[in-house]
Amino acid sequence: MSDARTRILERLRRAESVRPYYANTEPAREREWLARQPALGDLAARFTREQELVGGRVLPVAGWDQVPAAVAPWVREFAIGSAATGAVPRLDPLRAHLAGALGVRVLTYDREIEAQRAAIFGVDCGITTVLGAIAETGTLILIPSPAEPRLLSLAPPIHLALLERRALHPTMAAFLESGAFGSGTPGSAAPLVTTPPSNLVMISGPSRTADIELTLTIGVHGPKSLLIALIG
Amino acid sequence: MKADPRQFRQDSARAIGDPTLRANLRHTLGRIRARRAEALAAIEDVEALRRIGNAIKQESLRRLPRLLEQLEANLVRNGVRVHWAETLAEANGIVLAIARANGVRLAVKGKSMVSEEMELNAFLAEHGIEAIEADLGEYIVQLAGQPPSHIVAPAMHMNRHQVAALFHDKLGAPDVPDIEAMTALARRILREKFQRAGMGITGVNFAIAETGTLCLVENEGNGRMVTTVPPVHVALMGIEKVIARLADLPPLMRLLTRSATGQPISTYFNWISGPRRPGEKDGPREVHLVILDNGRSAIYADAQLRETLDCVRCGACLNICPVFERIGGHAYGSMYMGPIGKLLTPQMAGLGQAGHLVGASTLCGACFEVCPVQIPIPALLLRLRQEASQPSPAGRALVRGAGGARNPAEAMVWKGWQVLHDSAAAYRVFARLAALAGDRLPAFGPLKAWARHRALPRPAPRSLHRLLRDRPGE
Ligand code: SF4
Repeated sequence: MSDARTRILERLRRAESVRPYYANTEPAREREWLARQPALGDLAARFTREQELVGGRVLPVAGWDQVPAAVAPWVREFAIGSAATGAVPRLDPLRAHLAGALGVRVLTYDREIEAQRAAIFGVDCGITTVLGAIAETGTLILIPSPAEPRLLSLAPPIHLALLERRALHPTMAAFLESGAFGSGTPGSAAPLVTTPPSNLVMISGPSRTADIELTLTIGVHGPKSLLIALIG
Repeated sequence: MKADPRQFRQDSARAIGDPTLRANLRHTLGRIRARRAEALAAIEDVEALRRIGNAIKQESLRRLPRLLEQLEANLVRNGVRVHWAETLAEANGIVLAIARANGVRLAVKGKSMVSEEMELNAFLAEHGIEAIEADLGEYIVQLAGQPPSHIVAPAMHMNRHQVAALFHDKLGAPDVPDIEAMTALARRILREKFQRAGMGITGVNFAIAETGTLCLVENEGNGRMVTTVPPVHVALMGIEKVIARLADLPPLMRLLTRSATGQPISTYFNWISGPRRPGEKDGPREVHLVILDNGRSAIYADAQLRETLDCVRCGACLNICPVFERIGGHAYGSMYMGPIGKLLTPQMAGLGQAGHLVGASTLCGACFEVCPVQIPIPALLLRLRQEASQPSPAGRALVRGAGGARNPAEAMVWKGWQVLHDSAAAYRVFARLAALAGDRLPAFGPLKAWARHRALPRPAPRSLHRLLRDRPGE
């Protein structure tokens, strides 16, 4: 199909110098516009409000060591009988508490999906850490990794996400400027130098649809419940 | 139902006479308009944001060939296989070859307008491969054997009772119009398909050249399923989807989801930059991108029509359009409907096939007012009307089928009009005759068709010239 490629690109190159009919002189940048927007206020409060507007639940937790006790009421409320995590040492205390005192069957997603598909689709709750979050829209940012695969936050009907307060960014633009995606400087002329992660996903609330009569319905293909522990 | 833009007159007349459809459209469009308005009211200076959106798309198009090459190079570096297709047949052939190489019998699909353009499902079915739509709205219209009636909400023409009857008929579900139960049933059926499918097929909302990243905007999680569970992912995009930088994403997303559904951001925003890497436990082993032209490079060559390619497919112009509100999406006979459809379809299929779509507008300008990237849709419609009735001047890019709607009788009338206005004497005679004929103008032929839904103008018994001349005291 390289012929199609050559012909398409040649046609486009021939037309490249055509001057636009209505030239727009606005700089293609959001920064100045953002500066004119009302202040977001406290980031954690904004994040919580936006998540709750789309049906997520947010629970402030003082520190990582408090997480096991803090999520216990959710385990009862949502009748979580089984849960899966990645191979993340930081979650060991939580796993021990779930498996011990709370009587939850805990499994580790540490082999390729081909070997574990039924188990991961069958579990009640997937537990993950997150890379960060966007306060303005109440959005979690996940970069799945070998330790925490993609399906943990997708296949089980409940997703429990562990977010550190200090990982809150005010806006999507601020997240990009932090350089967390690749090691280049997004927005600058310099191209990114490293390979970006194979997958990044931003999540704002549980799975939803409005495809019948524009009526909001929660839990189509992804999780029906999104529970977030906001740590720190 | 076979989509055919040439049937527009009959199909739109039938739609207007369908009270259920009219009620369904009023209900859903009322809701979606209110949500958009509310979402945009929550941010300041929307106009400046629209100018930024427009500037980003203009800048991307200005550098289009270079950005496509950069995108390709980065995707290849990331492990994605890139294919180019000039025509729909080529694009279909590429998808089929990938499916065959992987022994695929079942494919699951996220929403993709390009796949509708390709009529990919029917093509794959002819070759023994089943393709199932996973977006709930698309799944509903696929079960009903219909094309989508809206680019964002494909089943917006149906109400819950109609969906319940359909699920009863096709899936053996109880005929109860319970939206939650119907959604749960679709979830159960499709979860099994995700796990069995050999291939996932999606569209692309934005492709980032500087990183080699494909972005997918969705609410249901079907896009995530389709791009995670099956071993092969094939993404389909038109050449116009590429943007230069990651930094272009936040303002475009800000505009897109607010304009489309009134959400500050979609539930899921996927950035896909490659297949499963060593050590990763899930994700497809192969990711392919098909870059489709299908007439877009011809649109690109025209300085004015090029703006059609700015479209981010938010659907806001459909939702606000008084014509769409009355006839719905199917009457357009094309996968692109409403104001943006009236621009895209004639330019892709040719003015001969779809030329009269450009006439199906009141030119009220509402679409331009809501368009998040400020596409001057009415001006472009006028340009296409002009193209339809007279061949383009030499040196300008020709729209396929230009001049196809040229009507000799109409051309003669305009010629006569010109003669009348060139000669004072001829004009005086004409005005006198018109005054005499008054409202007894015979309605026949094209005049009769024109007058069916409009009042014929009545020449005054005394012309303005006459009145001025006879003013007392002159
Ligand atoms: S033309 Fe503008 S309003 Fe219409 S779908 Fe495209 S971007 Fe949205």
